Amino acid sequence: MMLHPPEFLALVKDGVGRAVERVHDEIPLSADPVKDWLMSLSGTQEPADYFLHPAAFPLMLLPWLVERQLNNKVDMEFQTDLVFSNANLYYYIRLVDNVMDGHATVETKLLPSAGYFMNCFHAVYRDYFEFGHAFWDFFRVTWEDFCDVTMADGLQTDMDEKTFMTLIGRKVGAAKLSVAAVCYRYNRPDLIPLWDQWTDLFGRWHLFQEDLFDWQQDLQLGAITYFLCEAKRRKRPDEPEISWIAREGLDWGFEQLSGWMKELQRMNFVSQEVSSYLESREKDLLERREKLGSALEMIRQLSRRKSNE
Amino acid sequence: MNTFPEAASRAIYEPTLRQTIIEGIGITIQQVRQKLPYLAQEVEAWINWHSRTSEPAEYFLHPAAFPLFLLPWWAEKQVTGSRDLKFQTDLACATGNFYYYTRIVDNLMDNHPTVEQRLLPMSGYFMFQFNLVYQNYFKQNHPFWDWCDTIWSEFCDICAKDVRLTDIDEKTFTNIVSRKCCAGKISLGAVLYRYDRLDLLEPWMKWVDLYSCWHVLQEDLFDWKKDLDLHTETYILSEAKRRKKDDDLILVWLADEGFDWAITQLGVWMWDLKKMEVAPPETQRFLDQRETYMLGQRDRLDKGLQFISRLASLRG
Repeated sequence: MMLHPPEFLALVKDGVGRAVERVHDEIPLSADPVKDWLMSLSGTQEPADYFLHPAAFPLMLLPWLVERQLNNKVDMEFQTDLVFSNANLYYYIRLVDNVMDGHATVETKLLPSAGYFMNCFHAVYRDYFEFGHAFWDFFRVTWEDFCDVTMADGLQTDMDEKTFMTLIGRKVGAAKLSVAAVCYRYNRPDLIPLWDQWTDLFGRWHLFQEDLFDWQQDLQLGAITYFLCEAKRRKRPDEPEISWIAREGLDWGFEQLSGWMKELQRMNFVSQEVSSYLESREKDLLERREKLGSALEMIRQLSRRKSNE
Repeated sequence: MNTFPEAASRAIYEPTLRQTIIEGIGITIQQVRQKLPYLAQEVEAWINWHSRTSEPAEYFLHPAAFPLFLLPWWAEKQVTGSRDLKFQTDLACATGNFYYYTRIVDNLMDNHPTVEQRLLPMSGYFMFQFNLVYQNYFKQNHPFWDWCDTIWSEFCDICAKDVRLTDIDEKTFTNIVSRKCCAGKISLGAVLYRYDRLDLLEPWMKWVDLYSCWHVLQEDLFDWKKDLDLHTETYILSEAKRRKKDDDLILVWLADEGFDWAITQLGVWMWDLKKMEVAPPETQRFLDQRETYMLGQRDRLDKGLQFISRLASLRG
């Protein structure tokens, strides 16, 4: 399977483009700095590129894959609306996260736009579900959980396996909303708990592999990640984190990832397309690991030599 | 130490409304306890910190507060002759959530955050709870929602623009800065939409816009020192920079003529407000009470201002 089929690419460009262009109509006074910031996220002239990176969380792809599984063909208008909603959700999260992480550049002054993005994300679903519909209960519970978990994450000073599994992996919980919207629309609410499990597990895999590859940046920024906390716990008393990471940390990390990926692959309610997506993500991960190989081997040898001295 | 102006508060907020606000804010807090298992304590502590008493609603009952809870209260009596207290309590709950959303975002932008950086994910929680209240009263395709979306976008837009302003003249103030209060229109509009009295929507919106000019300028006037310290640009501070003599301090201009200039401007807006026919008699009474309270604040500063003015003239 191609990671992103052409018709999917077109609708992501359409939905994200709508989100970006709409700021001129809806928030004209602040549109210029807001749009500059949105464009800076993708780093290209195409704001959708940001969401189409092969290593990005499949926020836009999941509802598309679920609809294809349930209906064989997709309702392009519905999917474009979901992309529009998810783009706004993501912009909201990015603003909040960047200010919380303390590495905001322009984001603090843009914070009032977070309310605008949040409303755009939420309002889309009004076109598809009456307020009495079960979707809204799901939305409420999922959103409240997401806000709670996100704030709890920001307060952590140490992270062990239990915290990571029960709390941090759920940071991607808001992605469940568009998936549930598809399930409800096609009268398949029975699939929602399964997709929730899948999303939690994939979220765990996704966030952990991010922490694994971003450890250097996280260490510099003083970020609290499961991987770095584990490094501090497991390294020898006078050993730098990098030495533990080269010596055994990355192997340990990849073992964790492999276990979660196997669990994901055993979840057989998903379509072949989702399984192929997982394969491509795993393949990509292994390639990235391969590229790290020689650098790590050098650090390993240095570390061994130092401990023999 | 500032004490809570109990008598002035009780004059503005009648007992039934006080009770309604207390219950509405109580629901907001109860929901925090139920819905945020990880963080309820921290969020509740932050909410309680605002009132600094055992009653979180007290924060909203200050006589100088924007009449967020009063607007729907007046409007419902005006259009129906009575009040649906369940509806009003729900509106108070929505308004509480809205206010906490605003407080988190504003404190971060005004450069005086305490714990708001960590609380930022709660902005999404509060905003959603605010919205949720209205979902119980208006179906998803009700025209209220388009109107509400427009006001909300305007509110976000103006706040994002406001923080970037480096010089504020009268036009910028009336067209942009004072409209920061526009989200206060939502609960008022909800009343008018619910009772299908859209004929009153535009005149009431004009009232809120004009009242906001009055409210924001008098707030900026009394908070000038805090704003100056935090480098927050306001109309009064921009005006001071424009009008003061080159080597004068802002404080001297304020004491010499700035306070009088602002009080005169406030008087003009208050006069216009009192002429607006849309407002029922209880709103007119509120305007009198607010004006009296504001002039009382000014009077308390008067001796200090005269002293500064004299001191400056000796120096000059």
